[in-house]
Amino acid sequence: MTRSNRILTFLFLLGLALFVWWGDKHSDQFVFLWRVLNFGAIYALAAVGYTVINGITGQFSLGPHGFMLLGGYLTTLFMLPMHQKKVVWLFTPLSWPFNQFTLPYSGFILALIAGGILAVLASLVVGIPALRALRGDYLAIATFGFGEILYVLACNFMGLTNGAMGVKGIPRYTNLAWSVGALAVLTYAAVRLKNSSYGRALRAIREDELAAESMGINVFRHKLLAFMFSAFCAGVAGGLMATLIGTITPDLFRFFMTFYLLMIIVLGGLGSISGAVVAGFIFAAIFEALRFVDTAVVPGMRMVVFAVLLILVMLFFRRGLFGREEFTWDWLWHGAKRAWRWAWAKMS
Amino acid sequence: MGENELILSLQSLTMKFGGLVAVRDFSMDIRYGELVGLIGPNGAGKTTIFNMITGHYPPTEGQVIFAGRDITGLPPWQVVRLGIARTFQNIRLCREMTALENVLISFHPRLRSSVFAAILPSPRYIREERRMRERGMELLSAVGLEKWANFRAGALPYGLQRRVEIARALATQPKLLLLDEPAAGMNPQEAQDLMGFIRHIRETFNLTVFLIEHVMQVVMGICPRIRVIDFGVSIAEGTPEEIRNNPKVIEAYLGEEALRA
Repeated sequence: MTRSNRILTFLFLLGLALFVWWGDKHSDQFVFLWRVLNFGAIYALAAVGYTVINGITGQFSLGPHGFMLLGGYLTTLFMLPMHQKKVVWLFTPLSWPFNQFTLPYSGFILALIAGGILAVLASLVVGIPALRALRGDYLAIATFGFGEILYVLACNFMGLTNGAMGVKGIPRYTNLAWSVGALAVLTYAAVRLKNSSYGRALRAIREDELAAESMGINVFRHKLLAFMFSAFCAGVAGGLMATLIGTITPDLFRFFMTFYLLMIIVLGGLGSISGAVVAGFIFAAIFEALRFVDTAVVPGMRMVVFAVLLILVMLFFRRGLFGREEFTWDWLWHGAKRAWRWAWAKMS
Repeated sequence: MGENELILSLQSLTMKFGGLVAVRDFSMDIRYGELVGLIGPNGAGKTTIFNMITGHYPPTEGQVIFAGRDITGLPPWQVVRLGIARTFQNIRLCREMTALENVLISFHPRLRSSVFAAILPSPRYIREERRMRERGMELLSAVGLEKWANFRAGALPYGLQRRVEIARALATQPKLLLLDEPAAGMNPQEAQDLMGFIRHIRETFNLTVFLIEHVMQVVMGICPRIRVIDFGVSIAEGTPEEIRNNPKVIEAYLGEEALRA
């Protein structure tokens, strides 16, 4: 990284921080836009993790909705106020130890990290058998089954989840500072991971597993590493989503959530972290903008419109918006130079 | 290590795929520093023998002893770390990665920093990464590829891809290098150059080389000792001269007709 790029990055982060501060302060004036940006950041966060396992390592997982569910429920159980806990769990009492305590706002970060760690533990439970033996479609089916198991468990473990009735009255702590902050930190981690020696090993596994193994890479352990990273991102994203919406039900994290994320990472370009971030925000924006289609035509119609949009993107940008490339200042600079030359040639 | 000590000892290796016996009762000893060729017609089981050595196929019967240690049934990534590197018949590079990155992959198993240190990145990781890149460039220079370091491996000409693959194998710091038909798909001139190259790296890196070839002329030029197999069974061993005149070998390669004529 050259010095001018460093300065640009610093200015960008400064501008982002100012925007986040300003946006949170005036959120009541732009409620709709503010929500879209929050959702965008949360989708982008889950998508960044998802592209590490699906795009960079090339292991087709269909499990992120399960990890988001775990993160969402654990964060809820940590943050829900005591009086709300008494109101919600009417039929079945809330299980120990969550009926004993609740965390104040200052413990929010701990609750989010705990949600991520729970997701990582779950990723070990499913990943150790599945990643050792399965790849491709078979891995996809196994991880998909894992997500469905969690859904059924969430519907039936009344003492922890209040079943299909869900939990309401979750304090809405998530704002741009939290969602964009978490996105920035974990995106930095993902980019560093991708560009490090570990990332090279992951990319080698995607390109030729047999060759990677023949060069001494412990393929199973590296797949597990990518899987754990993606689970952590999804767990944190789930916690943020629950505390953004204020209610949580098992239906919030059904398979469609993984489907959204899959669309985002394909749209952004499989394996591109910046692509996942940009596509996450684009997805949230279009998704909310198309909400009128659901109310005006048939519920669920906006997914049809979205699928058509995705097909168009695939027809014209075969490898997604970014391909496997990443956003860099040099990339922007070259693009701007080319656009300028093109415009200049047109004018003269 | 004495001149006559064995680096690799294959003891009655047999590989069965269901009812098909791909290799039957194959035994062979290789001493430190040797350059040995394994030849045979297509489908004779040459690659299967390599796969049994490197752990890609656990042999149905028999043992692989490497430097005095039984390595039968170890997974490939452990076998490499003990010092056996290989290349593949159909070049298996990470095509989307650069030539240098391909070599760096081989250094990864010896990285000491944890994944957290790599993400931060810690000063030690930065030092290790810089050192890896330096050594990667040194290695590419040693095989004459420094100009191509930042080219996408898949975009390189075929002959250079083969050299990148060999460089990548060398980066694992092997004692024994297994080359699976390194001259496949090359014209006679390229094949000749490659044999010179193999002789060169063997001396530079102090290697033992075991190579498969099915074009006899190629292997005759550089291997003082050659083993021939056909239909999974060993049929001859000796110097190129002995092999060339061995009736069994001629029969295997040219058919019985050739002998009668």
